[in-house]
Amino acid sequence: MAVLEIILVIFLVFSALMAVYFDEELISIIFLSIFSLVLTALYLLHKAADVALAEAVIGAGLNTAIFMSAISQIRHGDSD
Amino acid sequence: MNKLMKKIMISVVLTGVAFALYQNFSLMPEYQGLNEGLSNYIIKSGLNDTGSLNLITAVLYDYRAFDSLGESTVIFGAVSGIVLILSRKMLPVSSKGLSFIVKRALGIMTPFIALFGFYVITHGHLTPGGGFQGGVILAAISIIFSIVYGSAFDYRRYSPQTKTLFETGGALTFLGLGLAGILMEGAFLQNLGFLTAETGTLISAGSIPYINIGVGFKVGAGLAIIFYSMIQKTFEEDF
Amino acid sequence: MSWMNIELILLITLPALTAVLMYFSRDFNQRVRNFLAVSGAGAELYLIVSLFIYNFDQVKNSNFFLQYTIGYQDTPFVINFAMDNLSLLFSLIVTGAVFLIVIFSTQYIKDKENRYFGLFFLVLASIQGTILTADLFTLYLFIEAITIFTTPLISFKKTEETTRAAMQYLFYGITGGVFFFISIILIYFNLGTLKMAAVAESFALISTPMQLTIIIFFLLALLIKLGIFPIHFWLPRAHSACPAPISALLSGVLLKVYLYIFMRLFWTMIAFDFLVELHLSAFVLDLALVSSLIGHVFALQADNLKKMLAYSSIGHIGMILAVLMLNTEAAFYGGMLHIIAHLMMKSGLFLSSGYLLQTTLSHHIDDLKGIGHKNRLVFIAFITVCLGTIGMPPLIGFVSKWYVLLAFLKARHFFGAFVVAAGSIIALIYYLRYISQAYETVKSESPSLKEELISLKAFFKSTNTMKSVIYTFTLLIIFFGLGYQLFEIPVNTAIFELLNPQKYIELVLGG
Repeated sequence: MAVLEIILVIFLVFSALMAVYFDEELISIIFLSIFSLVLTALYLLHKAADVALAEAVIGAGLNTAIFMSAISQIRHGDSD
Repeated sequence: MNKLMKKIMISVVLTGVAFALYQNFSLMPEYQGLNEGLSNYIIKSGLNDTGSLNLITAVLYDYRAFDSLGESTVIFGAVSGIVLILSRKMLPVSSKGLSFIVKRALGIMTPFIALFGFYVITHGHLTPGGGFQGGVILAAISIIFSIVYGSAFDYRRYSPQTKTLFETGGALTFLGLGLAGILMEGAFLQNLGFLTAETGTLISAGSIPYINIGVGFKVGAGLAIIFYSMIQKTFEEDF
Repeated sequence: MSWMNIELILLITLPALTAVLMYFSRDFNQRVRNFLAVSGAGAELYLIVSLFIYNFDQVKNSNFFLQYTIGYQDTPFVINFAMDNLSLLFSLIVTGAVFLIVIFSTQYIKDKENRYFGLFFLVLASIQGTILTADLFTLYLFIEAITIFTTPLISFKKTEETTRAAMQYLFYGITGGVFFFISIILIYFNLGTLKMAAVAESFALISTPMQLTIIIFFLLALLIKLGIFPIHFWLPRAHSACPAPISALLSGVLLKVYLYIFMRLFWTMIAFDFLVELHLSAFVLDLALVSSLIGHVFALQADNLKKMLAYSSIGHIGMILAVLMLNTEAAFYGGMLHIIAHLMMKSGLFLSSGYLLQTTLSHHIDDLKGIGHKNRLVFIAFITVCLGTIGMPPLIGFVSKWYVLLAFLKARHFFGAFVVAAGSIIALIYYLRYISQAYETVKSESPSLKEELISLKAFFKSTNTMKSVIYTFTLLIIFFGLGYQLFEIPVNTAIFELLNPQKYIELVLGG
């Protein structure tokens, strides 16, 4: 249990750092989504099922979609 | 060089903030376990007070229902603000969608996703989840539709007006249950006693399931509105 | 001491319900919509005024107290709403100002009124919630709600400048909210409760470094929200970008609400002695005074009328905060009076600037030539309010500034007294700059002052509604300048509340 938790925390920090590190927005967003998934696993490990469900649905699902639509607007040069 | 300096500055500031936060949080008292304080109280008498098996829902929609009302009002305001800023009144025709195989596969899967969303909403007081999580699942269906079938598919079937109707209906349900609490139980958002039934059945726990349904519709419709107003394009862009 | 005071919850839910109704009102007739908006705000005003009148005896003896509890009694989870004299005073002045602003905006806002009024009433609901709540988490919720609801209102005009200002406002507002939230987490982990009264009772039990951390994070959050000097630059941009009624709401009303939260936190919840003990009060006092001076100096170089007014707001808010930090009875009297005065004067100034600038090309000083000739009576009202802000004798600005000055002199704090006087003189210069520009002669055919006065019989035409709101503010400023003693009872009882937090704590915990 403790080993799994340590591995997950390392993954969490790694994905957060990578999300900041890359200049390409698309890669950052993918890493953010991975961050959310790892966080979901951590919440489940700590028996917080409600928070895990919310994090999976919002962090990994909805946030990614909204970020994607935002960068597609930026790529098109749609500035108004 | 300039970029490197910027990165170094940012990491120095972030390390400093992290260190300060760590120092402060290390001053906090030890974690006392579940047998102390508020958690103990909820575990002992939460089921008795509210009739809800899921104690987190009991806290969210009964003990601190007013705060949840505030949160959902914040979503309401955020949605209407985003629509106010981004509204362009243009049909978002941006893609024709993915291939036939994906469309058929999703056509089979969608009812089950929707069923899961409704399950999470209506069983909020029995199993993990609740109105908020289930509502986001419903909004996700709408987003998947726009990716797979092209952005006009969902937009034509459920126009923003219909979604606004769902959203305000959810908000009015929540407020109405609060006012009903004043009339019947004597306090705003008090759990309605006459709706309670045997613990563990679907229709139990007073007004909690109805608040869940209201919040679910409101959140689902609201987030779908946000997504659709974000993918709308100006007219010139489409040609 | 009953806990069933349904008015308190109605004060919060009534604007929320009005907001949902206004949201639906897109297909309504404009007349019906305006009627709905005005009657929603009017019902709120009626409620609070009737509370004041029916409980006048208790207010006079300063044992006025109403409480409302949500949730199960005897559990640690109840949410309390409490109203004492301090909250009553703030609720009263805020609702009055908002009522007038709503009347103004029914004529001023021309498109997308349904969303505008929906957000506006949500802001009103969260302001009332902020003032009435006695629970830290609910307070945090309402503060965040205010930030989120006002952001789209700032970028209502959808230009590049307003969007940038709104994003900056949102960023700093959320940052302030995060600091506030960190403090709340720390308090919860240390004391296990979020009721303000319970926190107040046992705050001394926390270890000193922790106390320092909590207080610093609270201070950071509120100083950002109030626009005190190092982090003030978002304020003039945000307050000048939005439509005039929203500027009046932000600058006139919202800053006072944050001042109220400041008082609630540092006098009722965390006793002021802790601030003195940790050597923070003198620091905040100096910071506020420097901020006041800087605000006035920056207003000198602002070439945009609304930006100038916003910088002058920074100056006044710094002065009020400084005088409150003196922690004497005279200082509270001056500070409270100036809060009321500034609320009326800034709302009036922003509204009249909105009316005046309807016809000009931009808000830049060069485009304001001859504006005084076009709208004579409104501009005279504008000048009157300006004089009130500077501190001319028969107006309320003079009375409040006089008491602030007296408080500084009594406390032997001469830098403060200098800042008050210098601020007035600088303000005179920057107002004169605009006034002289406005009376530059430009050829135009406009009705003379006499004709405009005679045409008062068409008072309720659409533009005249706007004018009458501006005149109302001006007349109120003159009237209360002569009869400022009318405020003596509410202000003095509010000060009693600040000096004796024990009463609030006992009543909330006991009721």
